[in-house]
Amino acid sequence: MWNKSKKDDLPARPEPAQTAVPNSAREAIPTSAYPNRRADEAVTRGGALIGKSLILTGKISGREDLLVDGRIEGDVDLPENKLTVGAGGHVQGSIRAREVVVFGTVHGNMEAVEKVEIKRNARVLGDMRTARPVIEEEAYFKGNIETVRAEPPKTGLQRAASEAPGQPALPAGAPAQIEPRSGEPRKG
Amino acid sequence: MNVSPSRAAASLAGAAAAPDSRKSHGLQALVGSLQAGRPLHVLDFGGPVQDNIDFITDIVSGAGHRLYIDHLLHAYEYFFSAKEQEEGVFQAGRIEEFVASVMEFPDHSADAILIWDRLQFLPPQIAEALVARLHRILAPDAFLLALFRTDSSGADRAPYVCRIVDSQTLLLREQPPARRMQTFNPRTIQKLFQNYREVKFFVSRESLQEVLIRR
Repeated sequence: MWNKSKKDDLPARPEPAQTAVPNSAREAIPTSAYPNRRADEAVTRGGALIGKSLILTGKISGREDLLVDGRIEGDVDLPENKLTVGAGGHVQGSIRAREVVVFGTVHGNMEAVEKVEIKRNARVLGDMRTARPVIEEEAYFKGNIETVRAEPPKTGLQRAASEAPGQPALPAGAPAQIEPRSGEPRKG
Repeated sequence: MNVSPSRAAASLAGAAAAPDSRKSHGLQALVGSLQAGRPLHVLDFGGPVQDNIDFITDIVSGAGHRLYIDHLLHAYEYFFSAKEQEEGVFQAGRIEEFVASVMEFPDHSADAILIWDRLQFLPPQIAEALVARLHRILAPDAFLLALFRTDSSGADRAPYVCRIVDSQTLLLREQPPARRMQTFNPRTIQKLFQNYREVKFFVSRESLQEVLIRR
């Protein structure tokens, strides 16, 4: 009975439509793209994850939490969400989020309405603007800290009103969008 | 904002050396100079210490006020090769390059500078170059606070982590690893800051000289 997989007990279900992925491509995905999340980094439940082997170039924006264990070369804009840069993560660009937690490396300015937290062994070069700066002693930080008052969370109506005209609001939980850097060709 | 000594001491629990609390007249004067109603820029070269961040950002909170943080010794060790550090010999232009990399600020832009005991752990020629640069950065009449140990001449010592408890109390703790410490006495300190308007010495326990320098 121990060898019997749970799958065998489940009723047959139609397979969802999938684009064909050649076996070679599947095998090429390194296991490191699915990192083990540490308890203190497991903040992005329901959010997005950029795995260890991924390198993204371009701007990222959206309305969900994001955990970066790979490398981002570009700005990150998650004004209502939390960005966590994991121990192996690297962001080269400016960051705007509700909250930023850094275990890895950030080269760029950070702006967070609520809090910026730089953990021990993290390395941050850039200025930060936040209501609550928290830097652990064994972190390396070089830059300016400017404290600002935390804004109360916006209601749905306020949020809609604050959207720039002509820019449709993303629904809550909408996936992060990646735009190529200016000057780089759009793919697809 | 005042951080209670018990809280600060508790946050140091587990540290190898017991923290040493002491009155700081230099800090008191420096903090007193910051009560201006305009955007302020404070530079702290001791590295990030949460109590100091809380204390200073509480004084200079609001739009336009900024606290700059860097760890001068880490920056030195990161910039110079192990050979350069060991031999204390630097090629032409290297020191200027280092000074520019750690102190890239407009002239007269800093309203206060906390350098703590960092100068004592740098080679003399680098300490001199940094002091000259700090003279340009510091606003007229603004203060610089430095600490010098007048004992253990020539010995290796661990630099202090300097924690601000309140506007007149510091909590000092040695943080390994030990580094080569340059010897200073009041005369050599005066000479180091000879271009500054005023150098004020405060008597402190255990051969620790607290020096408040006015630009």
